[in-house]
Amino acid sequence: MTNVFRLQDVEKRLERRWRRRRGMRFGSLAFALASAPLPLAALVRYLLLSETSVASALPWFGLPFLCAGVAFGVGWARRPNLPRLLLQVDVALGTKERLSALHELRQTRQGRPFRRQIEASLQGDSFPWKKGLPIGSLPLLVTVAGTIALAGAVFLLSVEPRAAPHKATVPLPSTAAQAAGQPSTAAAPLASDAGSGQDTSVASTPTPSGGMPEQSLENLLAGIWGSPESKGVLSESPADLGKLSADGTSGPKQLSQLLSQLEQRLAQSPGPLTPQEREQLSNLLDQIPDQSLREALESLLNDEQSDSLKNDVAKARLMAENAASQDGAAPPDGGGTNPTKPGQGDTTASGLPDAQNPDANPKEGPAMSRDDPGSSPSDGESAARRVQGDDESLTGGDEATPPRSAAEDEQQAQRPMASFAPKELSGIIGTSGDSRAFLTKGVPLEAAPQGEGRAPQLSVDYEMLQAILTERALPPGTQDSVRRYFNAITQGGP
Amino acid sequence: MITDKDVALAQETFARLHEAIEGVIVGHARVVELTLITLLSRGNLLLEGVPGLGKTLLVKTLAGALGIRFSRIQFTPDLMPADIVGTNILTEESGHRTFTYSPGPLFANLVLADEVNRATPKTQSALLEAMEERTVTVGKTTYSLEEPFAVLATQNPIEMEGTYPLPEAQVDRFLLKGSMDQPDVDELVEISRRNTEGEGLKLPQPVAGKAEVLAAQRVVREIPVGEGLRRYVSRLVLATHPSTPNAPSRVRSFVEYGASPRGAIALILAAKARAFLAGAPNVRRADIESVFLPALVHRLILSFKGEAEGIRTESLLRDVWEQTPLV
Repeated sequence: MTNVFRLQDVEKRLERRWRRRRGMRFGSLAFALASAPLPLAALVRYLLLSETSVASALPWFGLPFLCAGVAFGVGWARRPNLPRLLLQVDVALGTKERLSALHELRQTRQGRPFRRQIEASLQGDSFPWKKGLPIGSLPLLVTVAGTIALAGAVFLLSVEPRAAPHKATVPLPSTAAQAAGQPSTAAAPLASDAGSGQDTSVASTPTPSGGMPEQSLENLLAGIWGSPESKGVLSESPADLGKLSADGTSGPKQLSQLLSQLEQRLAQSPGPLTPQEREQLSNLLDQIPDQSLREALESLLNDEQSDSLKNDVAKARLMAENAASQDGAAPPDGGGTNPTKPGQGDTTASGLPDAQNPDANPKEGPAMSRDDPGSSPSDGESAARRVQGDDESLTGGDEATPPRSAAEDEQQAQRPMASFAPKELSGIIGTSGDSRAFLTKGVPLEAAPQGEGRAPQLSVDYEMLQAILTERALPPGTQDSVRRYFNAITQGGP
Repeated sequence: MITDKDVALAQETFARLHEAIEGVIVGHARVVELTLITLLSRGNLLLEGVPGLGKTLLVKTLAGALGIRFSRIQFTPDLMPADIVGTNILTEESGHRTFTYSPGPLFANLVLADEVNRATPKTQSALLEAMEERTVTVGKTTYSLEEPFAVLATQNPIEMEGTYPLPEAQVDRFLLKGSMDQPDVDELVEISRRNTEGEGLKLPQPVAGKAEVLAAQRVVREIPVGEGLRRYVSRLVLATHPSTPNAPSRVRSFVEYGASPRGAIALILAAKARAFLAGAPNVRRADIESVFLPALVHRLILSFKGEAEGIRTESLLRDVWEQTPLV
């Protein structure tokens, strides 16, 4: 008797389905309504540069689900008007009002012949009662809308507000305070992502007692990197920042410093290498690209005689100094210690096109090029000429540049821009003495000769600096950082 | 408690009856159906049509096919109530003179009140008790009418001079109102053939009796109507009232009074009878739709504005039907 139509079973199923459908409608509507304000709030947070973290906003994302659950319960709690529901199903299924009539017969316990006729006309097992009460696409659509709203809110929350990160993490000291020789009120903390994994004690700038800037190179570079205006202009890779900041303390330089200290120690107390010294030398061994220097260092590590050890150390120190000077003049990616990563082949450690590699394509790097829409054509061209001329002067080119023809100008325009490739340049900055670490090719410094045998006096060529910054299309905020940096290292002038 | 056999027998009886009537009456299928519905619902039928369309023939045919008592009353302006319900007459028996009640033509199973609107309201009112309570009161004595009982009244919608429109109370007591339309050519040809050849028109032999009719009436009352449909019927009836919020705008504008509760009762009873005739085990929306106009069309009273603008009640009821949701 599986084909017997049981109205009670159908009524129970229909009632459950009706309550579930009602709950879903209520729940989906509540979900969508509760989700709708979240993207708006996230948008407001983004526009107002609020520093609300995603984690602190997460509890609000539970609100739509909570509302949906409560609304589902409210919808589920109500019982349906069964006669009306049955009539609704009758209409939907086209059963000619038999379900509602059967319900009436069951209630009144009359009309048994008609009851049998009706039950016989309704097939028990195959009765498509679900079609009579379709869930419909409305709850699904409303839920999808709510989910999209939630996803939009998550997306907006995941996007960093434009000024928040650098404002929060890299507060730069004021230039006025630096110029007056006052100590910086707060050391600029290096952005965690930019400085991760870098040994800042080795890479930091030695601060002379005569009022050299208290900012480290990492801090200044982090300021430039963290500036929102630098997005799209500079490489966004934190590793580039580390690489750039590590340029001044490459392996040979560290080795040279270490060997100098070792030489002094041997002069004071001759003897074999201590385990600590061996370990330090061994650690630096992997960072030495020069094969001869490596061999000298290995023989030094194997030398047990104190007399020959002293000579070996002196010899190795000289080799290391030579290697360090060569390393400073060469691009960092050309030495082998910093193998170029895929996709960065045409850029220097700063993420800018390599000026010393004529085959490098400046358009592939993240730095601005002449074709970049952000640069002013007329200003950029004149500035580029000035930069090129200055580059040549700094690298030993002719000081007086003859007038160029149009072809030469075009050829000049196709040449790669000057970049921040490291360049060794000895000189005196202010009253603080020699500084070599951060001078790069194209640095807008004027070298004023001080006489026979004396290092030239360096000062900032502000006009050149402005031209370079304009050529680089650096945003004003970043320009200020760069200008402050050069002001700081030269103390504002000779 | 009815049985399957009762249901089958009743349906078979009325199938035969239907067939017998169609053997005499040419066309007018809708009116024949309404007549049978009225009989099954224990109601009264108001037939509207010009003379000569076969109204009287229809009632006589029905009575002949059922083998029940039939009487015909021709309503005229001078017709008195006693002419209908009967009167006490003085009789002498064994030297004693007594008043003896002489039943009028109303004492029949099927009464044809021909041109009922020609009698005075006083005479028309004589039908009220018989139509609703199935009783007749003469003097201080109330007499019950024999079941089955049905009044089939006719009126001429065109010739209104010298007529007395039926009072609302009496109109409301008619279960249904039907109208007999002119036959088409084929029907007219058949009508003329049957009446002009041979021995002329013959009334059918009885195919059923009183008992079968009464049994069928009991079966019809057992046909189930869902609660949802009952509510639907109630909403339909209420929508004919201009004061109801869900009444159509034209109803609010042109109707003075809507259908009474008798309208809802008539609608459901007629729908049951229609479902029975269709062989359905329950009342369907289609049954309600089929009898919606005949059951309510005479129960709406138009306002002066509606009368002045010539609004037809049928069009207002169509608005009600279309604008009242089933669920």
